[in-house]
Amino acid sequence: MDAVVKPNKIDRILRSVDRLPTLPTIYTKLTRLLRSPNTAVREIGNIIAEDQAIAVKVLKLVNSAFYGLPHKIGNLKQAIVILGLNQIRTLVLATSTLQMFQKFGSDHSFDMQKFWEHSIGCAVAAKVLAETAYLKSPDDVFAGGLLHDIGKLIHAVYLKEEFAAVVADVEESGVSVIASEKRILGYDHTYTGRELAIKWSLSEETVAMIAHHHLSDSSAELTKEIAAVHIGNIFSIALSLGSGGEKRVPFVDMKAWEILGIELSNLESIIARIDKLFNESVAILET
Amino acid sequence: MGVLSVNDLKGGMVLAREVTNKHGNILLERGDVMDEKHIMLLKSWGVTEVDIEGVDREQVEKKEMEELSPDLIATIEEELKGLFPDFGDNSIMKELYRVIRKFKIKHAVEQPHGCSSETK
Repeated sequence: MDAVVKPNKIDRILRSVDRLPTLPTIYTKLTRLLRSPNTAVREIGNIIAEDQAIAVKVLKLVNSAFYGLPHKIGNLKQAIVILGLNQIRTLVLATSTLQMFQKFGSDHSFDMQKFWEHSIGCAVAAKVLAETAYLKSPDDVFAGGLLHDIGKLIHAVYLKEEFAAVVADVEESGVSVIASEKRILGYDHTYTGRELAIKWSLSEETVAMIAHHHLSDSSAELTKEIAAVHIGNIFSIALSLGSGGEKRVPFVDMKAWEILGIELSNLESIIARIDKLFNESVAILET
Repeated sequence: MGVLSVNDLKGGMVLAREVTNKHGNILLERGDVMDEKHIMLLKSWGVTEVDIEGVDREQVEKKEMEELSPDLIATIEEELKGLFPDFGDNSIMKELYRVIRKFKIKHAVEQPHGCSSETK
């Protein structure tokens, strides 16, 4: 097998828009509403009611132990008021990502179920870190965590043989996925993920979280959001929440830890919270 | 007195120092005797550690470990050895290893028939 890919192969794949997975229109619509200052709950309700799978999950989430409400909420509008648009948008993104993984899931050297669980694990971990560090938008950090490895999905689907070689290489030699990708492909999943995120018109912050979660580009600005996804990824690997193909827990970058300003003594409760929230999220999303 | 993680609190333990929130308001007084309700409240307030009379963390954790089967601990340590790189004296990785090891052991004890974090 010829393992070395010409560098323009991935660019060609990324250019063939009709082959690439897309974000569902419901997510785009909600994003537009979020940017508009006078969005009515009714409008959001109408959009969500169009998609039964999402509507069911919204009600499930609001009635989950996580919110601990005294009464059961059966009304979509009430649920929207309690959860907020940002939270609902995150739920839609997580649901679409799951559908995307399922659609492209079968027949790969890569276990897509575990990969999806790793994405949720990183999203939840990054969100818990963002909340602990009082970042302004933990839900956006959740989205960044959810999509941080989306480049790997593209590799697994469109560069099947080459990516299988990467997975085998990591398994055998114990190097990181990103190091192996660079060796075998000549570039890594943060490059592909970034390109796809730009195609999807995701926000600049989300693009940066996807592109820099390995902190491999020292010239890029290290933001708190990137730090949260970087560390969230590592914590989800340490807890073995699903698998993104990594064999070993990567090192937490000191600067990333310092910029978040979290006390090391909080680690125990952070880890417990991540695990709890992970199990709840998987249960809600997989039904 | 010693600092204990809220997760390790047991009914009957006595606070050696008052618990305050980040604004300095007192939530629980020194000398308060812990019960299930207090422990639940502390968790919901987001308090992670408290000072307790007459204990220290190492002692509590050591005692807990003594009650467990050495086989179980060995299995978990073996699993983590494959997962964690050689982290030397990197303080964050050291603490992460300690917390994950403790968490996995606790999980295995609470769900003896489950399969650690992959349980849904």
